[in-house]
Amino acid sequence: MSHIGMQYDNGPEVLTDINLQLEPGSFQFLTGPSGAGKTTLLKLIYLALQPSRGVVQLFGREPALCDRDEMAHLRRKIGVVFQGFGLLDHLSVFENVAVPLRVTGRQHHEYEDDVQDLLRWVGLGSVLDASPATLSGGEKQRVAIARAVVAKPELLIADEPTGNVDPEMGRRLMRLFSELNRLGSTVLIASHDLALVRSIAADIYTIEDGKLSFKPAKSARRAK
Amino acid sequence: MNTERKQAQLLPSDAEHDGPLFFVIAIIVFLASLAAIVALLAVQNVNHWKSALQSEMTVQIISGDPAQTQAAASLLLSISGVKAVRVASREEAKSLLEPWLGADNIPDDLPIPLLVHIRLSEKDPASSENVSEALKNAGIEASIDDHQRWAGDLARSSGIIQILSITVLALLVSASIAVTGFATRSGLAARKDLVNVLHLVGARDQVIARLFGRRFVLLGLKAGASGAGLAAISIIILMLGGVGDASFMGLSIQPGLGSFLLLLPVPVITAMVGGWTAHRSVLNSLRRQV
Ligand SMILES: Nc1ncnc2c1ncn2[C@@H]1O[C@H](COP(=O)(O)OP(=O)(O)O)[C@@H](O)[C@H]1O
Ligand SMILES: [Mg+2]
Repeated sequence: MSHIGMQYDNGPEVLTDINLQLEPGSFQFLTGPSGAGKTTLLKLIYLALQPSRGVVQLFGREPALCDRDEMAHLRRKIGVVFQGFGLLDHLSVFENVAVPLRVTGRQHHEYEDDVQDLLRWVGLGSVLDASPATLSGGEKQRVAIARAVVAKPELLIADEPTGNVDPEMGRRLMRLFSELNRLGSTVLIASHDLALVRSIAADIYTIEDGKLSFKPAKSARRAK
Repeated sequence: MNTERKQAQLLPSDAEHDGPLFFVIAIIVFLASLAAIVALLAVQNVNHWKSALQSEMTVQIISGDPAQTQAAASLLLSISGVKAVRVASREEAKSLLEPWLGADNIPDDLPIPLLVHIRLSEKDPASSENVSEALKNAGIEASIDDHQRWAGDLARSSGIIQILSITVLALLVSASIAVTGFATRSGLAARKDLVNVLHLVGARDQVIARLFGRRFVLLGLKAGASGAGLAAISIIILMLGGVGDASFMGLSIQPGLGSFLLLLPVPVITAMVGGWTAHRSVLNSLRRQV
């Protein structure tokens, strides 16, 4: 994305002149104090918002020039772990995770095994039929992650994914993201938890005062 | 079945909103069904009466002399385009006067004009000019009523009823579209979480709209069936209550099989209107988002 500016309604500009290029297959962090505009920047990338000015490009397309169906197709290439999860309590854990597949018209029998395997892999094999409302914060987080990755997105975005979990669970989730990155997804994680950010060798973007600064991963880049 | 259990509705039914909506739509459908039936009856009635009236004529023999009346009757029968004649008795003529003069107040020697009813042939019926010409030539003083005025009045009043009921019908259909659109938008707002998630995981607008459309198709089907059922029950009560021959603004009300046939497609129409309205208002709302 280049020269992005963003303001809400007639409020002050939250982001000014942001330039950001995500290399395919990379693992990046986005940090910055609370209220700096991390969520706003992520929303611009996962197409929940349109920039007030500047150009966003995704997968070689310019969303601003796409019609609504093309936008939907772009969104399918992006998996998002929303801040606050965005789980649907009237659906079971299994169904929540299956939603991205269902909306593309895939049939239950086509994805049943994949979804169950994925949920077992994130350690939720025993709560497939539970409502997310009955789960702990860490479990909800993993449901949200499973939903974000179930359609094998090219880009995985997570907004404060460790916000509500204890440090141990935080580290486990980070290993999960690294694993997904190793499997080929580009990963972008927003977090204001610096300790967590430092625990993984990754490029770090920092937003402050509407500006973005970049710090490449220290020394040992992940072996590819 | 396991498979069934795991395919829960993405959009759960919403008793809190659907209950009142069901009630409102059922009432609208009930009223609309009645309006449609009244329009149908008006059409049927006027056609029935028109053909009955146009195949008949009444000749009043002013003198009231039975012999002259008989002569007139044979003369009338000889006119081409006349199928049958029937002379009304003095008693019959008297009974027509009773409402004005009272049963016992008509002296036997009061000259009462006698009536000859003419039934016209279906093909090339005789005109009232033919008839009056023939009577005049025979020197019989008579006045002829070819029921044109009455038929005109009838057609007019039936036309008014038709326009009224179709207007009412149109208003009720708009009301149901408006109330469904309103309910869809409030359902959309109530389910913002779901709509947001679906939208952001890449559901096309059509997919989301179909979810709501489906819900209102089902609701429309149920409410439509209830409303139409209620209308059918009302008709049965009307018929059983012997109101079959009652008249309303000059039209006799004889609800028959046609009325019930008219009600048959009502649930489907209601479902289609509901589904289409919901689908469209979801698309409209979504288009206003990113
Ligand atoms: N929907 C919104 N409407 C208006 N202002 C908003 C909205 N969302 C966020 N903001 C404002 O934008 C700024 C950045 O918020 P956000 O992107 O959520 O920051 P972060 O995720 O880094 O904590 C904050 O000042 C916040 O008040
Ligand atoms: Mg945030």
